[in-house]
Amino acid sequence: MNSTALSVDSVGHVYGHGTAEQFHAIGEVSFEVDRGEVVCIVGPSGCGKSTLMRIMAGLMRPSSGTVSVDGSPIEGVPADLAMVFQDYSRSLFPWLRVRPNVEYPLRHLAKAERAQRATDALADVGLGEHDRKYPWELSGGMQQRVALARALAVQPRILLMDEPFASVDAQTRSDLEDLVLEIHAETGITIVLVTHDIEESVYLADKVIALSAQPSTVLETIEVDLPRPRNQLDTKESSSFLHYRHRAYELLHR
Amino acid sequence: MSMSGRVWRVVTALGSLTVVVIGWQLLTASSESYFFPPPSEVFPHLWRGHGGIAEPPYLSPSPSDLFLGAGFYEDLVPSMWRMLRGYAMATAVGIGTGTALGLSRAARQYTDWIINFVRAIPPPALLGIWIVVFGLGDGPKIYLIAFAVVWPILLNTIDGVASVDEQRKQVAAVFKIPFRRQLTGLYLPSASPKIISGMRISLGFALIMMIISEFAGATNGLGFRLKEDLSFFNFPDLWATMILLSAIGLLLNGLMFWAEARILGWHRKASEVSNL
Ligand SMILES: Nc1ncnc2c1ncn2[C@@H]1O[C@H](COP(=O)(O)OP(=O)(O)O)[C@@H](O)[C@H]1O
Ligand SMILES: [Mg+2]
Repeated sequence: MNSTALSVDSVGHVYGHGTAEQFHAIGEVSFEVDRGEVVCIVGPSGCGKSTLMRIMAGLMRPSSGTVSVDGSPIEGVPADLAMVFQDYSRSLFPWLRVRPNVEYPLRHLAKAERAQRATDALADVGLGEHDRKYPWELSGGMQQRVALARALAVQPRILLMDEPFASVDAQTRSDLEDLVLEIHAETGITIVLVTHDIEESVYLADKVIALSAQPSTVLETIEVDLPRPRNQLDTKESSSFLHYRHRAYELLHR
Repeated sequence: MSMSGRVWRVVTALGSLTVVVIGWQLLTASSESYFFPPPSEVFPHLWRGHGGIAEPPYLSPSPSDLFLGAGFYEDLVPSMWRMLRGYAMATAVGIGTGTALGLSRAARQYTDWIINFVRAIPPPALLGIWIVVFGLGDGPKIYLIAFAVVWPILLNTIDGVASVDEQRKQVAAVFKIPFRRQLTGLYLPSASPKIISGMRISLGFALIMMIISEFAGATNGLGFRLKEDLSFFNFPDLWATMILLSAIGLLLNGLMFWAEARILGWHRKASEVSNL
Protein backbone atom coordinates (compact mmCIF):
# COMPACT_ATOMS: atom_id res chain seq x y z
CA MET A 1 0.00 0.00 0.00
CA ASN A 2 1.19 3.47 -0.88
CA SER A 3 1.96 5.33 2.33
CA THR A 4 1.82 8.81 0.80
CA ALA A 5 -1.10 10.74 2.26
CA LEU A 6 -0.65 13.96 0.36
CA SER A 7 1.63 14.97 -2.45
CA VAL A 8 2.34 18.41 -3.81
CA ASP A 9 3.53 18.18 -7.36
CA SER A 10 5.26 21.12 -9.08
CA VAL A 11 2.77 23.58 -7.62
CA GLY A 12 3.24 27.18 -8.69
CA HIS A 13 1.01 30.17 -8.20
CA VAL A 14 0.75 33.60 -9.74
CA TYR A 15 -1.79 36.04 -8.30
CA GLY A 16 -3.61 38.26 -10.78
CA HIS A 17 -2.06 36.61 -13.80
CA GLY A 18 -1.81 38.99 -16.77
CA THR A 19 -2.80 42.07 -14.76
CA ALA A 20 -0.62 45.00 -13.80
CA GLU A 21 -0.46 43.74 -10.20
CA GLN A 22 0.60 40.24 -11.25
CA PHE A 23 2.47 38.63 -8.37
CA HIS A 24 4.48 35.44 -8.55
CA ALA A 25 4.00 33.95 -5.09
CA ILE A 26 4.98 30.29 -5.51
CA GLY A 27 7.68 29.33 -8.00
CA GLU A 28 7.66 25.57 -8.04
CA VAL A 29 7.11 23.47 -4.97
CA SER A 30 7.03 19.66 -4.69
CA PHE A 31 7.02 17.44 -1.63
CA GLU A 32 5.27 14.44 -0.19
CA VAL A 33 3.64 13.87 3.16
CA ASP A 34 3.49 10.30 4.41
CA ARG A 35 0.59 8.94 6.42
CA GLY A 36 0.83 9.81 10.09
CA GLU A 37 3.71 12.19 9.49
CA VAL A 38 4.12 15.69 10.87
CA VAL A 39 5.48 17.97 8.19
CA CYS A 40 6.39 21.57 8.93
CA ILE A 41 6.72 24.19 6.25
CA VAL A 42 8.99 27.10 7.13
CA GLY A 43 9.81 30.10 5.07
CA PRO A 44 10.12 33.86 5.25
CA SER A 45 6.92 35.84 5.63
CA GLY A 46 5.24 36.56 2.30
CA CYS A 47 6.78 33.55 0.57
CA GLY A 48 3.40 32.00 -0.11
CA LYS A 49 2.96 29.59 2.81
CA SER A 50 -0.70 30.50 3.35
CA THR A 51 -1.26 30.36 -0.38
CA LEU A 52 0.22 26.87 -0.47
CA MET A 53 -2.02 25.87 2.45
CA ARG A 54 -5.15 27.10 0.69
CA ILE A 55 -4.10 25.18 -2.40
CA MET A 56 -3.54 21.99 -0.40
CA ALA A 57 -6.92 22.45 1.27
CA GLY A 58 -8.56 22.68 -2.14
CA LEU A 59 -9.77 26.21 -1.42
CA MET A 60 -8.06 27.55 -4.53
CA ARG A 61 -6.55 26.13 -7.68
CA PRO A 62 -2.85 26.58 -8.27
CA SER A 63 -1.71 28.26 -11.49
CA SER A 64 0.29 25.13 -12.23
CA GLY A 65 0.91 21.71 -10.75
CA THR A 66 -1.34 19.41 -8.76
CA VAL A 67 -2.06 18.34 -5.22
CA SER A 68 -3.01 14.71 -4.72
CA VAL A 69 -4.55 13.00 -1.74
CA ASP A 70 -4.13 9.22 -1.62
CA GLY A 71 -2.79 9.34 -5.15
CA SER A 72 -5.69 11.12 -6.83
CA PRO A 73 -5.56 14.82 -7.75
CA ILE A 74 -7.96 16.86 -5.60
CA GLU A 75 -11.06 18.59 -6.95
CA GLY A 76 -12.11 21.03 -4.25
CA VAL A 77 -11.70 20.31 -0.57
CA PRO A 78 -10.66 16.67 -0.08
CA ALA A 79 -12.67 14.42 2.21
CA ASP A 80 -11.29 13.88 5.71
CA LEU A 81 -9.33 17.10 5.72
CA ALA A 82 -9.59 19.84 8.32
CA MET A 83 -7.78 23.08 8.82
CA VAL A 84 -6.81 25.43 11.61
CA PHE A 85 -6.43 28.99 10.43
CA GLN A 86 -3.86 31.54 11.44
CA ASP A 87 -6.19 34.22 12.77
CA TYR A 88 -8.31 32.54 15.44
CA SER A 89 -10.38 35.65 16.10
CA ARG A 90 -11.62 35.60 12.52
CA SER A 91 -11.92 31.86 12.34
CA LEU A 92 -14.44 31.16 15.10
CA PHE A 93 -18.01 32.47 14.91
CA PRO A 94 -18.53 35.13 17.58
CA TRP A 95 -22.32 34.66 17.55
CA LEU A 96 -21.97 31.05 18.69
CA ARG A 97 -20.82 29.71 22.01
CA VAL A 98 -17.82 27.39 22.14
CA ARG A 99 -19.78 24.14 21.84
CA PRO A 100 -21.90 25.12 18.82
CA ASN A 101 -18.74 26.47 17.20
CA VAL A 102 -17.19 23.01 17.53
CA GLU A 103 -20.41 21.31 16.42
CA TYR A 104 -20.90 23.61 13.44
CA PRO A 105 -19.20 21.29 10.90
CA LEU A 106 -20.99 18.24 12.33
CA ARG A 107 -24.57 19.02 11.37
CA HIS A 108 -24.82 15.96 9.17
CA LEU A 109 -24.46 13.75 12.25
CA ALA A 110 -27.15 12.71 14.71
CA LYS A 111 -27.49 15.02 17.67
CA ALA A 112 -26.10 12.65 20.27
CA GLU A 113 -23.10 11.78 18.11
CA ARG A 114 -22.46 15.44 17.48
CA ALA A 115 -22.56 16.28 21.17
CA GLN A 116 -20.27 13.37 22.00
CA ARG A 117 -17.70 14.40 19.41
CA ALA A 118 -17.70 17.99 20.63
CA THR A 119 -17.36 16.87 24.24
CA ASP A 120 -14.42 14.63 23.35
CA ALA A 121 -12.68 17.21 21.19
CA LEU A 122 -13.07 19.92 23.82
CA ALA A 123 -11.74 17.57 26.48
CA ASP A 124 -8.78 16.71 24.23
CA VAL A 125 -7.77 20.35 24.02
CA GLY A 126 -8.42 20.91 27.72
CA LEU A 127 -11.49 23.11 27.35
CA GLY A 128 -14.19 20.80 28.69
CA GLU A 129 -15.17 23.42 31.25
CA HIS A 130 -15.57 26.29 28.86
CA ASP A 131 -18.07 24.98 26.34
CA ARG A 132 -20.77 27.49 27.30
CA LYS A 133 -18.57 30.55 26.88
CA TYR A 134 -18.38 32.72 23.81
CA PRO A 135 -15.06 32.66 21.91
CA TRP A 136 -14.41 36.32 22.64
CA GLU A 137 -14.62 35.58 26.35
CA LEU A 138 -11.53 33.38 26.02
CA SER A 139 -7.83 34.20 25.73
CA GLY A 140 -6.11 33.89 22.35
CA GLY A 141 -4.54 30.55 23.22
CA MET A 142 -7.90 29.17 24.34
CA GLN A 143 -9.60 30.40 21.17
CA GLN A 144 -6.99 28.60 19.10
CA ARG A 145 -7.70 25.47 21.16
CA VAL A 146 -11.37 25.81 20.24
CA ALA A 147 -10.41 26.06 16.57
CA LEU A 148 -8.26 22.96 17.01
CA ALA A 149 -11.15 21.14 18.72
CA ARG A 150 -13.46 22.10 15.86
CA ALA A 151 -10.98 20.61 13.39
CA LEU A 152 -10.46 17.44 15.46
CA ALA A 153 -14.19 16.88 15.94
CA VAL A 154 -14.62 16.10 12.24
CA GLN A 155 -12.08 13.28 12.79
CA PRO A 156 -9.95 14.19 9.78
CA ARG A 157 -7.12 12.08 8.46
CA ILE A 158 -5.23 15.18 7.35
CA LEU A 159 -4.93 18.28 9.50
CA LEU A 160 -3.57 21.48 7.99
CA MET A 161 -2.48 24.24 10.32
CA ASP A 162 -1.48 27.69 9.09
CA GLU A 163 0.77 29.44 11.60
CA PRO A 164 -1.59 28.31 14.33
CA PHE A 165 0.45 29.70 17.20
CA ALA A 166 1.83 32.86 15.63
CA SER A 167 -0.21 35.23 17.74
CA VAL A 168 -0.11 33.71 21.20
CA ASP A 169 2.45 34.32 23.94
CA ALA A 170 5.53 32.10 24.32
CA GLN A 171 4.26 30.11 27.30
CA THR A 172 0.91 29.33 25.64
CA ARG A 173 2.74 28.55 22.47
CA SER A 174 4.86 25.78 23.91
CA ASP A 175 1.76 24.36 25.65
CA LEU A 176 -0.05 24.27 22.33
CA GLU A 177 2.93 22.67 20.59
CA ASP A 178 2.89 19.89 23.16
CA LEU A 179 -0.86 19.56 22.73
CA VAL A 180 -0.39 18.99 18.99
CA LEU A 181 2.28 16.36 19.67
CA GLU A 182 -0.01 14.63 22.15
CA ILE A 183 -2.92 14.57 19.72
CA HIS A 184 -0.64 13.31 16.99
CA ALA A 185 0.65 10.51 19.21
CA GLU A 186 -2.89 9.51 20.16
CA THR A 187 -4.59 9.70 16.78
CA GLY A 188 -1.77 9.17 14.30
CA ILE A 189 -3.29 11.93 12.20
CA THR A 190 -1.27 13.38 9.32
CA ILE A 191 -0.33 16.97 10.07
CA VAL A 192 1.00 19.72 7.82
CA LEU A 193 1.86 22.80 9.83
CA VAL A 194 3.12 26.13 8.57
CA THR A 195 5.29 28.24 10.80
CA HIS A 196 7.94 30.90 10.51
CA ASP A 197 9.51 29.68 13.73
CA ILE A 198 12.47 27.39 12.98
CA GLU A 199 12.65 25.96 16.47
CA GLU A 200 8.96 25.10 16.43
CA SER A 201 9.28 23.38 13.08
CA VAL A 202 12.13 21.14 14.21
CA TYR A 203 10.46 20.39 17.53
CA LEU A 204 7.23 19.21 15.92
CA ALA A 205 8.23 17.73 12.60
CA ASP A 206 9.31 14.48 11.07
CA LYS A 207 10.22 16.54 8.05
CA VAL A 208 10.90 20.26 7.71
CA ILE A 209 10.39 21.80 4.31
CA ALA A 210 12.31 25.02 3.99
CA LEU A 211 10.97 27.43 1.40
CA SER A 212 12.83 30.29 -0.23
CA ALA A 213 11.50 33.82 -0.53
CA GLN A 214 8.92 34.34 -3.29
CA PRO A 215 8.57 33.03 -5.90
CA SER A 216 9.17 30.21 -3.47
CA THR A 217 10.89 26.90 -4.15
CA VAL A 218 11.88 24.12 -1.77
CA LEU A 219 15.38 24.93 -0.54
CA GLU A 220 15.79 21.65 1.26
CA THR A 221 13.80 18.98 3.00
CA ILE A 222 15.27 18.21 6.41
CA GLU A 223 14.44 14.76 7.76
CA VAL A 224 14.17 15.26 11.51
CA ASP A 225 15.15 12.06 13.21
CA LEU A 226 14.41 12.94 16.82
CA PRO A 227 12.85 10.35 19.11
CA ARG A 228 9.22 10.67 20.21
CA PRO A 229 7.70 11.43 22.60
CA ARG A 230 9.45 14.75 22.62
CA ASN A 231 9.45 17.37 25.34
CA GLN A 232 10.36 20.99 25.55
CA LEU A 233 13.48 20.46 27.68
CA ASP A 234 15.19 17.21 26.69
CA THR A 235 14.37 17.39 23.02
CA LYS A 236 15.38 21.00 22.65
CA GLU A 237 18.63 20.48 24.58
CA SER A 238 19.71 17.45 22.58
CA SER A 239 22.61 17.87 20.19
CA SER A 240 20.65 16.50 17.23
CA PHE A 241 17.92 19.09 17.82
CA LEU A 242 20.54 21.83 17.75
CA HIS A 243 22.01 20.33 14.62
CA TYR A 244 18.66 20.40 12.77
CA ARG A 245 17.93 23.85 14.05
CA HIS A 246 21.35 25.01 12.86
CA ARG A 247 20.74 23.60 9.40
CA ALA A 248 17.30 25.15 9.05
CA TYR A 249 18.60 28.48 10.26
CA GLU A 250 21.41 28.43 7.71
CA LEU A 251 18.97 27.70 4.93
CA LEU A 252 16.58 30.49 5.79
CA HIS A 253 19.12 33.16 6.62
CA ARG A 254 21.67 32.86 3.95
CA MET B 1 -26.68 49.88 33.97
CA SER B 2 -27.31 49.58 37.69
CA MET B 3 -30.81 49.39 39.11
CA SER B 4 -30.55 52.76 40.84
CA GLY B 5 -29.16 54.25 37.61
CA ARG B 6 -32.21 53.01 35.76
CA VAL B 7 -34.59 54.36 38.40
CA TRP B 8 -32.81 57.69 38.28
CA ARG B 9 -33.21 57.85 34.51
CA VAL B 10 -36.95 57.22 34.74
CA VAL B 11 -37.26 59.85 37.48
CA THR B 12 -35.40 62.50 35.47
CA ALA B 13 -37.40 61.66 32.33
CA LEU B 14 -40.72 61.94 34.17
CA GLY B 15 -39.53 65.14 35.85
CA SER B 16 -38.64 66.87 32.60
CA LEU B 17 -41.85 65.60 31.00
CA THR B 18 -43.88 67.17 33.80
CA VAL B 19 -42.06 70.47 33.36
CA VAL B 20 -42.71 70.42 29.61
CA VAL B 21 -46.42 69.67 30.03
CA ILE B 22 -46.78 72.40 32.66
CA GLY B 23 -44.93 74.85 30.41
CA TRP B 24 -47.15 73.83 27.51
CA GLN B 25 -50.23 74.35 29.70
CA LEU B 26 -49.09 77.78 30.90
CA LEU B 27 -48.15 78.99 27.41
CA THR B 28 -51.30 77.78 25.65
CA ALA B 29 -53.78 78.62 28.42
CA SER B 30 -52.70 82.25 28.39
CA SER B 31 -52.82 82.50 24.61
CA GLU B 32 -56.04 82.82 22.71
CA SER B 33 -54.75 80.81 19.75
CA TYR B 34 -57.31 78.42 18.40
CA PHE B 35 -54.58 76.20 16.89
CA PHE B 36 -52.85 75.43 20.16
CA PRO B 37 -55.34 74.25 22.75
CA PRO B 38 -53.88 73.66 26.23
CA PRO B 39 -53.05 70.07 27.22
CA SER B 40 -55.85 70.16 29.81
CA GLU B 41 -58.19 70.32 26.84
CA VAL B 42 -56.21 67.96 24.54
CA PHE B 43 -55.63 65.01 26.85
CA PRO B 44 -59.31 64.30 27.64
CA HIS B 45 -59.83 63.83 23.90
CA LEU B 46 -57.74 60.69 24.20
CA TRP B 47 -60.34 58.90 26.33
CA ARG B 48 -63.63 60.83 26.33
CA GLY B 49 -66.14 61.28 23.50
CA HIS B 50 -66.98 64.93 22.78
CA GLY B 51 -69.77 64.61 20.20
CA GLY B 52 -70.23 66.90 17.20
CA ILE B 53 -67.18 66.98 14.95
CA ALA B 54 -65.06 65.23 17.62
CA GLU B 55 -63.52 61.88 16.72
CA PRO B 56 -64.16 58.68 18.68
CA PRO B 57 -61.51 58.52 21.45
CA TYR B 58 -58.70 55.97 21.41
CA LEU B 59 -59.12 55.02 25.03
CA SER B 60 -62.02 54.49 27.35
CA PRO B 61 -62.38 55.13 31.08
CA SER B 62 -64.37 51.93 31.42
CA PRO B 63 -62.66 48.69 32.51
CA SER B 64 -65.39 46.69 30.73
CA ASP B 65 -64.02 48.08 27.43
CA LEU B 66 -60.52 47.04 28.54
CA PHE B 67 -59.90 50.81 28.53
CA LEU B 68 -60.00 50.83 24.73
CA GLY B 69 -62.22 53.24 22.82
CA ALA B 70 -63.82 53.14 19.37
CA GLY B 71 -60.93 55.11 17.87
CA PHE B 72 -58.60 52.30 18.84
CA TYR B 73 -60.47 49.79 16.71
CA GLU B 74 -61.53 52.11 13.90
CA ASP B 75 -58.31 54.03 13.33
CA LEU B 76 -55.34 52.93 15.40
CA VAL B 77 -55.56 49.21 14.64
CA PRO B 78 -56.07 49.61 10.87
CA SER B 79 -53.13 52.05 10.75
CA MET B 80 -50.79 49.81 12.71
CA TRP B 81 -51.86 46.79 10.67
CA ARG B 82 -51.00 48.58 7.43
CA MET B 83 -47.71 49.71 8.84
CA LEU B 84 -46.86 46.25 10.10
CA ARG B 85 -47.63 44.62 6.76
CA GLY B 86 -45.68 47.25 4.84
CA TYR B 87 -42.73 46.91 7.20
CA ALA B 88 -42.85 43.11 7.05
CA MET B 89 -42.91 43.23 3.27
CA ALA B 90 -39.96 45.64 3.22
CA THR B 91 -38.05 43.42 5.63
CA ALA B 92 -38.67 40.26 3.62
CA VAL B 93 -37.86 41.88 0.28
CA GLY B 94 -34.93 43.83 1.70
CA ILE B 95 -33.24 40.90 3.38
CA GLY B 96 -34.03 38.48 0.54
CA THR B 97 -32.88 40.70 -2.29
CA GLY B 98 -30.06 42.14 -0.23
CA THR B 99 -28.68 38.68 0.50
CA ALA B 100 -28.80 37.69 -3.15
CA LEU B 101 -27.06 40.89 -4.21
CA GLY B 102 -24.60 40.73 -1.34
CA LEU B 103 -23.48 37.29 -2.46
CA SER B 104 -22.74 38.29 -6.04
CA ARG B 105 -20.39 41.06 -7.00
CA ALA B 106 -21.59 40.88 -10.59
CA ALA B 107 -25.24 41.26 -9.54
CA ARG B 108 -24.28 44.26 -7.44
CA GLN B 109 -22.51 45.90 -10.35
CA TYR B 110 -25.52 45.43 -12.62
CA THR B 111 -28.10 46.62 -10.11
CA ASP B 112 -26.22 49.34 -8.29
CA TRP B 113 -27.36 52.16 -10.56
CA ILE B 114 -30.94 50.85 -10.75
CA ILE B 115 -31.20 50.82 -6.98
CA ASN B 116 -29.84 54.35 -6.74
CA PHE B 117 -32.21 55.52 -9.45
CA VAL B 118 -35.36 54.00 -7.96
CA ARG B 119 -34.38 54.94 -4.43
CA ALA B 120 -34.18 58.59 -5.45
CA ILE B 121 -37.93 58.76 -6.13
CA PRO B 122 -39.64 60.49 -3.19
CA PRO B 123 -42.23 57.89 -2.14
CA PRO B 124 -45.11 60.34 -1.55
CA ALA B 125 -44.82 61.33 -5.20
CA LEU B 126 -46.00 57.83 -6.02
CA LEU B 127 -49.07 57.89 -3.80
CA GLY B 128 -51.47 59.28 -6.41
CA ILE B 129 -50.49 56.90 -9.19
CA TRP B 130 -50.53 53.91 -6.85
CA ILE B 131 -54.06 54.70 -5.78
CA VAL B 132 -55.03 54.81 -9.45
CA VAL B 133 -53.28 51.52 -10.12
CA PHE B 134 -53.98 49.56 -6.96
CA GLY B 135 -57.29 51.10 -5.92
CA LEU B 136 -58.45 52.55 -2.63
CA GLY B 137 -57.95 49.55 -0.34
CA ASP B 138 -55.02 48.83 1.93
CA GLY B 139 -52.88 47.65 -1.01
CA PRO B 140 -51.45 50.95 -2.22
CA LYS B 141 -50.78 52.12 1.33
CA ILE B 142 -48.91 48.94 2.22
CA TYR B 143 -46.92 49.03 -1.01
CA LEU B 144 -46.10 52.66 -0.45
CA ILE B 145 -44.81 51.98 3.06
CA ALA B 146 -42.84 48.98 1.85
CA PHE B 147 -41.38 50.89 -1.09
CA ALA B 148 -40.33 53.78 1.10
CA VAL B 149 -38.73 51.82 3.92
CA VAL B 150 -37.11 48.95 2.05
CA TRP B 151 -33.94 50.88 1.18
CA PRO B 152 -32.09 51.00 4.50
CA ILE B 153 -32.78 47.28 4.99
CA LEU B 154 -31.77 46.41 1.44
CA LEU B 155 -28.58 48.46 1.39
CA ASN B 156 -27.47 47.36 4.84
CA THR B 157 -28.13 43.71 4.02
CA ILE B 158 -26.10 43.99 0.81
CA ASP B 159 -23.28 45.62 2.72
CA GLY B 160 -23.43 43.12 5.57
CA VAL B 161 -23.53 40.04 3.38
CA ALA B 162 -20.84 41.34 1.02
CA SER B 163 -18.45 42.06 3.87
CA VAL B 164 -18.49 38.65 5.52
CA ASP B 165 -14.95 37.86 6.56
CA GLU B 166 -12.93 36.02 3.92
CA GLN B 167 -11.36 33.63 6.39
CA ARG B 168 -14.76 32.65 7.85
CA LYS B 169 -15.90 31.82 4.32
CA GLN B 170 -12.85 29.58 4.00
CA VAL B 171 -13.76 27.92 7.29
CA ALA B 172 -17.21 27.11 5.90
CA ALA B 173 -15.67 25.82 2.67
CA VAL B 174 -13.06 23.65 4.37
CA PHE B 175 -15.71 22.06 6.56
CA LYS B 176 -17.94 21.54 3.53
CA ILE B 177 -20.91 23.36 4.98
CA PRO B 178 -23.80 23.18 2.46
CA PHE B 179 -24.68 26.53 0.94
CA ARG B 180 -28.05 26.84 2.70
CA ARG B 181 -26.41 26.32 6.05
CA GLN B 182 -23.73 28.83 5.16
CA LEU B 183 -26.55 31.32 4.59
CA THR B 184 -28.23 30.72 7.92
CA GLY B 185 -25.12 29.90 9.91
CA LEU B 186 -22.58 32.35 8.53
CA TYR B 187 -23.82 35.05 6.15
CA LEU B 188 -26.98 36.13 7.97
CA PRO B 189 -25.59 36.07 11.53
CA SER B 190 -22.48 37.85 10.33
CA ALA B 191 -24.57 40.50 8.58
CA SER B 192 -27.16 40.73 11.35
CA PRO B 193 -25.74 43.82 13.10
CA LYS B 194 -25.99 45.77 9.85
CA ILE B 195 -29.36 44.28 8.89
CA ILE B 196 -30.87 45.14 12.24
CA SER B 197 -29.51 48.65 12.17
CA GLY B 198 -31.23 49.04 8.78
CA MET B 199 -34.44 47.66 10.25
CA ARG B 200 -34.25 50.17 13.08
CA ILE B 201 -33.95 53.10 10.68
CA SER B 202 -36.80 51.70 8.58
CA LEU B 203 -39.14 51.25 11.51
CA GLY B 204 -39.16 54.95 12.36
CA PHE B 205 -39.59 55.71 8.70
CA ALA B 206 -42.51 53.27 8.40
CA LEU B 207 -44.48 55.25 10.98
CA ILE B 208 -44.05 58.43 8.94
CA MET B 209 -45.01 56.69 5.71
CA MET B 210 -48.06 55.12 7.32
CA ILE B 211 -49.41 58.60 8.13
CA ILE B 212 -48.60 59.97 4.68
CA SER B 213 -50.18 56.96 2.94
CA GLU B 214 -53.47 57.70 4.71
CA PHE B 215 -53.62 61.32 3.61
CA ALA B 216 -55.27 60.30 0.35
CA GLY B 217 -57.67 57.52 -0.59
CA ALA B 218 -58.28 56.47 3.02
CA THR B 219 -61.49 56.31 5.07
CA ASN B 220 -59.90 55.49 8.40
CA GLY B 221 -56.53 55.48 10.13
CA LEU B 222 -54.46 57.97 12.06
CA GLY B 223 -53.33 59.83 8.96
CA PHE B 224 -56.93 60.08 7.75
CA ARG B 225 -57.95 61.50 11.14
CA LEU B 226 -55.20 64.09 11.11
CA LYS B 227 -56.38 65.26 7.70
CA GLU B 228 -60.03 65.35 8.79
CA ASP B 229 -59.24 67.16 12.03
CA LEU B 230 -57.33 69.78 10.12
CA SER B 231 -60.09 70.36 7.60
CA PHE B 232 -62.71 70.64 10.36
CA PHE B 233 -60.46 72.82 12.53
CA ASN B 234 -60.72 70.13 15.22
CA PHE B 235 -57.44 70.98 16.92
CA PRO B 236 -57.85 69.20 20.25
CA ASP B 237 -58.28 65.89 18.43
CA LEU B 238 -55.43 66.71 16.09
CA TRP B 239 -53.08 67.21 19.01
CA ALA B 240 -54.42 64.12 20.78
CA THR B 241 -53.43 62.04 17.75
CA MET B 242 -50.00 63.69 17.72
CA ILE B 243 -49.48 62.66 21.33
CA LEU B 244 -50.59 59.13 20.49
CA LEU B 245 -48.17 59.00 17.55
CA SER B 246 -45.23 60.06 19.63
CA ALA B 247 -46.15 57.44 22.23
CA ILE B 248 -46.25 54.80 19.46
CA GLY B 249 -42.87 55.99 18.19
CA LEU B 250 -41.40 55.62 21.66
CA LEU B 251 -42.93 52.20 22.10
CA LEU B 252 -41.61 50.93 18.75
CA ASN B 253 -38.18 52.26 19.56
CA GLY B 254 -38.27 50.47 22.89
CA LEU B 255 -39.34 47.22 21.24
CA MET B 256 -36.55 47.52 18.69
CA PHE B 257 -34.04 48.23 21.43
CA TRP B 258 -35.21 45.16 23.34
CA ALA B 259 -35.09 42.92 20.27
CA GLU B 260 -31.66 44.24 19.35
CA ALA B 261 -30.29 43.57 22.83
CA ARG B 262 -31.59 40.00 22.62
CA ILE B 263 -30.42 39.21 19.09
CA LEU B 264 -27.18 41.17 19.08
CA GLY B 265 -26.02 40.70 22.66
CA TRP B 266 -22.99 38.78 21.35
CA HIS B 267 -22.09 41.60 19.00
CA ARG B 268 -22.14 44.38 21.56
CA LYS B 269 -20.09 42.41 24.06
CA ALA B 270 -17.68 41.06 21.46
CA SER B 271 -17.08 44.57 20.12
CA GLU B 272 -16.09 45.65 23.60
CA VAL B 273 -13.22 43.16 23.73
CA SER B 274 -12.07 43.31 20.11
CA ASN B 275 -12.90 44.70 16.72
CA LEU B 276 -14.18 41.25 15.71
N1 LIG C 1 -5.50 37.26 -2.87
C1 LIG C 1 -4.26 37.74 -3.18
N2 LIG C 1 -4.09 38.54 -4.25
C2 LIG C 1 -2.86 39.02 -4.55
N3 LIG C 1 -1.75 38.77 -3.85
C3 LIG C 1 -1.86 37.98 -2.76
C4 LIG C 1 -3.12 37.44 -2.36
N4 LIG C 1 -2.92 36.70 -1.25
C5 LIG C 1 -1.61 36.79 -0.97
N5 LIG C 1 -0.97 37.56 -1.88
C6 LIG C 1 0.46 37.85 -1.91
O1 LIG C 1 1.14 36.65 -2.07
C7 LIG C 1 2.27 36.60 -1.24
C8 LIG C 1 2.24 35.36 -0.40
O2 LIG C 1 1.19 35.48 0.53
P1 LIG C 1 0.95 34.41 1.66
O3 LIG C 1 0.67 33.10 1.01
O4 LIG C 1 -0.07 34.93 2.57
O5 LIG C 1 2.38 34.38 2.36
P2 LIG C 1 2.82 33.83 3.79
O6 LIG C 1 1.68 33.07 4.37
O7 LIG C 1 4.01 32.99 3.52
O8 LIG C 1 3.19 35.02 4.62
C9 LIG C 1 2.27 37.86 -0.41
O9 LIG C 1 3.22 38.76 -0.93
C10 LIG C 1 0.90 38.41 -0.58
O10 LIG C 1 0.93 39.82 -0.61
MG1 LIG D 1 0.55 33.27 6.12
